[in-house]
Amino acid sequence: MIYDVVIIGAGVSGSAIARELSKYKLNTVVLEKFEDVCSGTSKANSAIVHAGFDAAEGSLMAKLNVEGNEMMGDLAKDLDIPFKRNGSLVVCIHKEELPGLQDLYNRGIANGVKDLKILSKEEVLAMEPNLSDDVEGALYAPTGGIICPFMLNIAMAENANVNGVDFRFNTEVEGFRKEGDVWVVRTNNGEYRTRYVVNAAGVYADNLHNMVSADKIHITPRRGDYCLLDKEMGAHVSHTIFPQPTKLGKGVLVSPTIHGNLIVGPTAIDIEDKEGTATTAEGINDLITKAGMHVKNLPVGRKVITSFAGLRAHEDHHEFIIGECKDAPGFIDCSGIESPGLTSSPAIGRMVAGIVVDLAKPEKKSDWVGTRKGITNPSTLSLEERNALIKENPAYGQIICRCESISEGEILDAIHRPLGARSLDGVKRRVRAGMGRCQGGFCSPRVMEILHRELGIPVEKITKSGGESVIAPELSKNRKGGEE
Amino acid sequence: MQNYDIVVIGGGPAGLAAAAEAKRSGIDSILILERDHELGGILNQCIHNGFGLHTFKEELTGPEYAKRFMDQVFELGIEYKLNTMVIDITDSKVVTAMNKTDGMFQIQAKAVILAMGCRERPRGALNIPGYRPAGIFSAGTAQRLVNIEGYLPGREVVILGSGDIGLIMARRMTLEGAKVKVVA
Repeated sequence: MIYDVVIIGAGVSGSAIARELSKYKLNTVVLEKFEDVCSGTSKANSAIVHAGFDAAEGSLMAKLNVEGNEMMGDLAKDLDIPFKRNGSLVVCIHKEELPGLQDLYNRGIANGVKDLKILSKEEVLAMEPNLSDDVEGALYAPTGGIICPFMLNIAMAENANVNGVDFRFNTEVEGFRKEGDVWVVRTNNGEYRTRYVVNAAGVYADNLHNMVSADKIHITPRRGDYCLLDKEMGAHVSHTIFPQPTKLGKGVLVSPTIHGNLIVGPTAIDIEDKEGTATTAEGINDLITKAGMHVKNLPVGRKVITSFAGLRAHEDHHEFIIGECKDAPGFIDCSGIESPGLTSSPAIGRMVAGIVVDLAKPEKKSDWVGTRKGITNPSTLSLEERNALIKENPAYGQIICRCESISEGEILDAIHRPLGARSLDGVKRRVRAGMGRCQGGFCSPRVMEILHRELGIPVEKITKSGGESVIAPELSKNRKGGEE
Repeated sequence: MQNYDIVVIGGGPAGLAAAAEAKRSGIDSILILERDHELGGILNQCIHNGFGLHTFKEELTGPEYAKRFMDQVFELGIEYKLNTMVIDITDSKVVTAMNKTDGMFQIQAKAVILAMGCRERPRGALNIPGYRPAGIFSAGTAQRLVNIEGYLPGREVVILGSGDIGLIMARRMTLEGAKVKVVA
């Protein structure tokens, strides 16, 4: 068969594009080299919905950031995912930096960011008592927000899938050739023929682009280390606190997460390895020092529950590259999607889909469903509602992850819904089992048992995150002996 | 709402012993809430010996030691609920808990005994840098996998920490067929 569209990458960009294209009568497939959606840059970032004052005036990045921010409220409602506009503060701790705040304000206004305000020392300290005593003023952007990056990505993919888009996991693109007007996409799992290719491959987007185009691009994986703090610290600040941006990025932020933790990060370290997500002691120490310059009483060392690193797909010109390749008709790039890529994703989806639609001129579907019912979160229900739920499905009465109070019912939903979880990390990203204080120490054997029972995967084959990442590779000697 | 004089949260040896002692001291209305599917707590996975020397003047394994306390609770006819997770305790000692059969329920207690044991601090809490691959376990998780579930959490093992727990795990992993390369 010949597909209309092959999208490479099931991150937040690829999934947003897939969802937009699912509005049309197109045969679309998403190819993902990992075992699940949301497995690369989309899973390890600040989880911030940026207001849009940072990106250069007139850039595509600025345009899509502001558009994406505006779209996020309705999208989060439609897809039933947690999102909150907690507001962002760019904090200034030296008097000589105050003109910089004004520049940011002006840039934000030019970019179309609404409701920006410059706050005095007294105003900002009244809003955030845990800011450094050295604070001199701040830029306040009430449209800034926090979101669950996993659910944004997963929900868009699920919704695309329900509307007819295929997803192929563990499918890595190895090359392309042209047969007439048809693109042949060569993968480790066979070939896919298609009229259009969308390259949303994150840090690998340059490799794919450079296979088909003489006009080379270059992406540097820019590593960002983060520390995630215990929920005890989740109310230490209520807004997202940024320092003034530098040419390496928006700097080390301190922010509550949508789930009530506190996140500190990222660093910005350019590396070569496109899978180089190892944190370093230097990186972590650096971000702890920097975070402490703007926010006081931060017990990062004592209250951290995990640290991690993500890779931004930094294109040499620090700009999103979106459009049909001039020397490769039908090959559409969506590359260089670094911060504010998560924020921009709804707008990126709309823009890229628009390019495909202009080329393919498909009909719109009449039966497209743009809404999705999220995974029921019992902690938001009253005691009576919760009892009704447990009566209907007793699995909601069995707590599996005690740190986050996640029930078996939620885990079953995560496994059995469209594009459901198949690994510990897949479950974790969908329902947070294993994301709490003990980091899965208690619940992972139980989640493995549920995955085994529900999917028929032998326990020895259950993985943390697909591939070779098995957790318990064989039976113990005693058990082997007992069964012989 | 049900009423109990004492609600014991946690059915490990501490909770069981506390409940038994309260009963012997004349309190009849006692309820033990245990999140796991059996009483005994963490000792059920501590299958090495060395328990009970002080209390029973015998050398017992963890499960044997736990059983001594379970038997006391059974003999004294103390009520308990398994697979039951406590979600909340208020200042006025209202305990909210849940399980599959009772749903979510509340108990007014006169006293609450907290005997929930502890949580291991995972690698992340120590902020050890590096990748986050499969195969990094706290001692308790590895012990549960091998002793309760019957799976080997790896064929070649490095153990960080050479106290009694590290050495107990080194012995167990070796006995279960793994190659322990280093205890550091």
